[in-house]
Order: sequence, then structure tokens, then C-alpha cells
Amino acid sequence: MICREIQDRFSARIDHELAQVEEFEIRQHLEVCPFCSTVYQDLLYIRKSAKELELVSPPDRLWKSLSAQMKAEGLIRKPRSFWERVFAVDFGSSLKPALTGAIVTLILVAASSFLVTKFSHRQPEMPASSDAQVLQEVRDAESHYQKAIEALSESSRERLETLDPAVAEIFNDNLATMDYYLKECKEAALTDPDNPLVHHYLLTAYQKKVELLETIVNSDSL
Amino acid sequence: MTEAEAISKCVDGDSLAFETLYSLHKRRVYAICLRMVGNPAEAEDLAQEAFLQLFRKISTFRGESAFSTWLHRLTVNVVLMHLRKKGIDEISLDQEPEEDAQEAPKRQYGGEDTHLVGAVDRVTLERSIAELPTGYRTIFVLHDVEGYEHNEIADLIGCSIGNSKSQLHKARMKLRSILHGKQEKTEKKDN
Repeated sequence: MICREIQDRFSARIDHELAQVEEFEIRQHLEVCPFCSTVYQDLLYIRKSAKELELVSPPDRLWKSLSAQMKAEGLIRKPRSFWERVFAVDFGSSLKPALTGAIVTLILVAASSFLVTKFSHRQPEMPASSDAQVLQEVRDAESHYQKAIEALSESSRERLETLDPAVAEIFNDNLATMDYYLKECKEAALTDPDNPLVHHYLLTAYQKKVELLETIVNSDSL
Repeated sequence: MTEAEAISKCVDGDSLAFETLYSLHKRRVYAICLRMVGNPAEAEDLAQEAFLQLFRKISTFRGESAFSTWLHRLTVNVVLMHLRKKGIDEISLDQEPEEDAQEAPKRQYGGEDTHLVGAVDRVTLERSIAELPTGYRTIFVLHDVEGYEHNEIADLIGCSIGNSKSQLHKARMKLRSILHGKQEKTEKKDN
């Protein structure tokens, strides 16, 4: 093979693309032709040096120009608050009021929980009632709410299975928070049974749980 | 902020997130642009365009490939689009440049060993790459510098794999010729 034909195969050899026979022929030629050997070594060196070329830093003005353009296009925006991010999720128009309600309820429950804890350790300003009738009314109301909750629980469980998983998760979290709050209120009612504020918060908690269950049952499925 | 966090926050338009991603990848993006077009001013414009496209599309990044791979490919496409708009063929199947005649082996009987090995610094190599004809430079940068395979180059540019291989060889031979020319000039100056 003449030198030109040999050299035409150098790149293939460098990139390990030659068949065994060709590889042998070229190796044999390189052993006897110093000129082709020089060319080959040069190409090998170029290949190696190219792989080792370093990265290049752009001038600082590039970022300034880029960020100005991004601001002009509205790509750079004011950070959204937590609530903006939550409401940016597309739950569907029918669910956003439900979600709003659930979140407001959560806030009320959290605030109420704090107040129950605070007031259960204080002498209430309202006259302590030891009236058995009042206690009975509270128990009747509690029983009423518990029945409503029992009636709604099965339907809400079924509805949750048809909802968007992200929405279902929020509702489940809210229910768990409600249950925890109810537990706290019941414990407070046991330790301070004559405190009307405790009764009030307990019944409010039951009412809120019923409302949440109704919201779940009435929400649109997927 | 990690890269993953920055990618996630970019979707919200967080400027610090953008800056983080820019800092992490600016050198690679600019280097690709500079080496493929051989001109710093053009490279700056193209790097800016590549980042703009990246940030516009970042919400579509699904993580199927590494982020750097995705950005790399986007940058190469930006440059190739620019070259096409300029009416430059990255590869011409019919092109048989006059330089081919000069690439015939030159016999130097009794001459000194003119190995390039160890005689070429990085700056000289970069300048020489910039002097390559556009088509050769594109193939050489994509394959030898950036590590693309011939089938990927063929895909990107719209040529055959055989053509990509042949042009790469010509690019390397041309680059060798340019580097030898510079080496001879330096030697003459020293003498």
C-alpha cells in the first residue's frame, strides 16, 4: 500500500476502527516508513491534545447581558410565597374552594389548639358551670357529631380514592390534624370538665371535622 | 445550592438558581461555542442564546439524561443553527478543497525530525483550530474535543457516518499542516 493510502487510514486506526488485517498492514508499514510514522505520531498527538483542551471562561459581561434579557422576558420572577405555590397547583376550579376551606380550617384548628392548651390551665373568666344539664347537652352534641362523622367517614374514604393523589394527601393530612386536635380537646375535657371554653372548643372541633368530611364527599373526583 | 435544587427553583424564576446553573456550566457552553465558530464575539452571542433557550425550556427537563448532556446538546444545536443561517455548510459531500492537494505526503529526505509531539502549546492549538475551515472545525471540535461519536455527529449535522469519518481525517491532517506551518515560522524567527 502506498503512503497516501496508509495515511488515509490513520484516523480510523487512532479511533480503533480498523479490521485486524488492516491494523497489521499499517503496523508493518509504520515500522519501515519513518515519514508515515511521523505523520501518525503527529495525528495521535493532536488527538490527545484536543481531548485535554481546557474549558474557557466567558467574559463577565455575558452574565449581565443574559440576566438583563431574562428579566426582560419575565424569566426571572419575584419568589412565590408558600401559599402562592400551593394555589398554583391545578386542582381544578371546583377543588380550590375546598382546598381553601381545608387550609383555613387547619389554621383555625391550630389556633384553637393553642388556645385550649392555654385556657385549660387558667381559671376561666366565665363562671364555672357545674350544671349537669349543660354537661348533658355537651354529651348529646358530642354524640350527634360522632354519629355524623361515622356516617360520613365511609363515603369520604371512598371519595378520597377517586381524587388526585396530591389532593387526597392534603385532605388526609387535614383529617389527621383534626383527629389529633379532637384527642387533645377530649383530654382537656376530661381534666377540666366544668370549663365551658373546653366544651366550646371540643364541639367546634367536631363541627369542623364534619365540615371537612362533607367537603371531601362533595369534592369532584378525577 | 445543588444543581438539582437550582433546576427546581429555576422553574419558579429564582434568579439565584439561574445564576447557580450559569456558573456551573458557563465555561463548557462558552468553550463549545468558541471552538466551533472560532470567533469570541460570535461565541459570546451564541453562549447567551444557548443559556436563554435553556432557561426558557428548563421546565421541560425531565431528567432522562444528565442535565449537562442535555445542555451540551442544546448548545451544539444552537451553534449549528447559527452556521446554517449564515449559509455555511458544516459538511459538503461534494467539497474537495484545494488544500487536499497540499495534504499529499511531503518527503523530506535528510530533513530533521519534524514531530509535533511536545512542541505545541494549548494556545497554538486553539488558534490553529480556529483557522480550520468551518466544516472541518465543526467535525473536529465535535469529535476530538467534545467526544461525540460519528453516528451522533451524522445525526446532528445531517450527513452520513462515512462522510463524518472522512472529514474528521481531513480536519486532523489540515490541523497538522497548520501547526507545522506555525512551528516553521517560530523556528525561522528563533534563527
